[in-house]
Amino acid sequence: MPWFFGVGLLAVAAVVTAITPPDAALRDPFPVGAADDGIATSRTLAAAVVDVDRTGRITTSDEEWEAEGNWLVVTLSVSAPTTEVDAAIGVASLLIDGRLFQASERPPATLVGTDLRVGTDTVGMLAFELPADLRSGTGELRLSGRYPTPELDDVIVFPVDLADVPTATAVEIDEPRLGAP
Amino acid sequence: MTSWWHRQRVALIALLVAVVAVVGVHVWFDVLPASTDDTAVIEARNGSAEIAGQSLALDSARWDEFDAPAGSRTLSIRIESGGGPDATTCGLFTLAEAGGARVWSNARSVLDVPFDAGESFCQEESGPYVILAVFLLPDDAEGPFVLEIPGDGEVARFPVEL
Repeated sequence: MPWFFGVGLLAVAAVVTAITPPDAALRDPFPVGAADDGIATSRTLAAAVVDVDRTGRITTSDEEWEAEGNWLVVTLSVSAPTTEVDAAIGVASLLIDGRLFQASERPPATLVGTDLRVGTDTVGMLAFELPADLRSGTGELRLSGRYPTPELDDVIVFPVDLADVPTATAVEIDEPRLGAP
Repeated sequence: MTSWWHRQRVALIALLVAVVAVVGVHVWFDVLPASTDDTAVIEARNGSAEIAGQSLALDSARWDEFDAPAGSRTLSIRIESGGGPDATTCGLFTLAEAGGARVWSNARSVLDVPFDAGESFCQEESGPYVILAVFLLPDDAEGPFVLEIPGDGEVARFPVEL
């Protein structure tokens, strides 16, 4: 009888060890997906994807700047759900097949760091510069607030399938503007 | 035969005292300091309050003075300051819904507001001057609002009735 008891305890200990989350899980962010209306609302951001394009060339509206490359351009409509204090997309990243890309800082206009408004949308663009051979794969677009590493906080997640994204010859990167898309 | 509880009474009392001490130390040193908010709130009287070394008076609140995108409108709030020798700068103006959770901040930089229409925040000014704060509100925000102006570890609250 004591042997059965001992074996039972060992089994319980093994199960507890197996299902215990890793230490890092204590600080993991909470992914938030889009609702039926396409808007994903986290603690500090409310965002919807307006358009996604792939292109070999991005330019600005005054055509004074352009860059060739393997670009993924995302147009978003974003607002702040409750407060405008510190409301902005601080980190925008694209996770494709285990590789994480940050939104490019090269284009003169970007939605990253733009002050967001409560109740009024801001429409802006994010450009991701990808390796030339990255043409397909599934992943996700992640948006979070001002802190560089979101811990124990919401992160907005939109699924992205590179193979489904239409390709344009060139995409114009506009300054973020106020108003509905 | 004495009961187990009776025989272990010294140890049990010691355990109880230890639990109270641990909880007390944690609450006193960790919980209470984190929750203390020492910002003093100054409620405006008759639309005026002393903050950042100067006297601020709510002059007017006006809808739709500046262009806004569809579905939104602007609310311009003018504040008269008396200035003074002790006048310092103040923090970010915010406008909160009195009956809701939404908070807006000064949106002058994204709206077409002439730079000479008034100062954007408190100045170190000895004489009187005018501050203009412009908020971009969605159409469903109708007020009443509370305007908050932080300065010098204090915050002045002005009720804005429309």
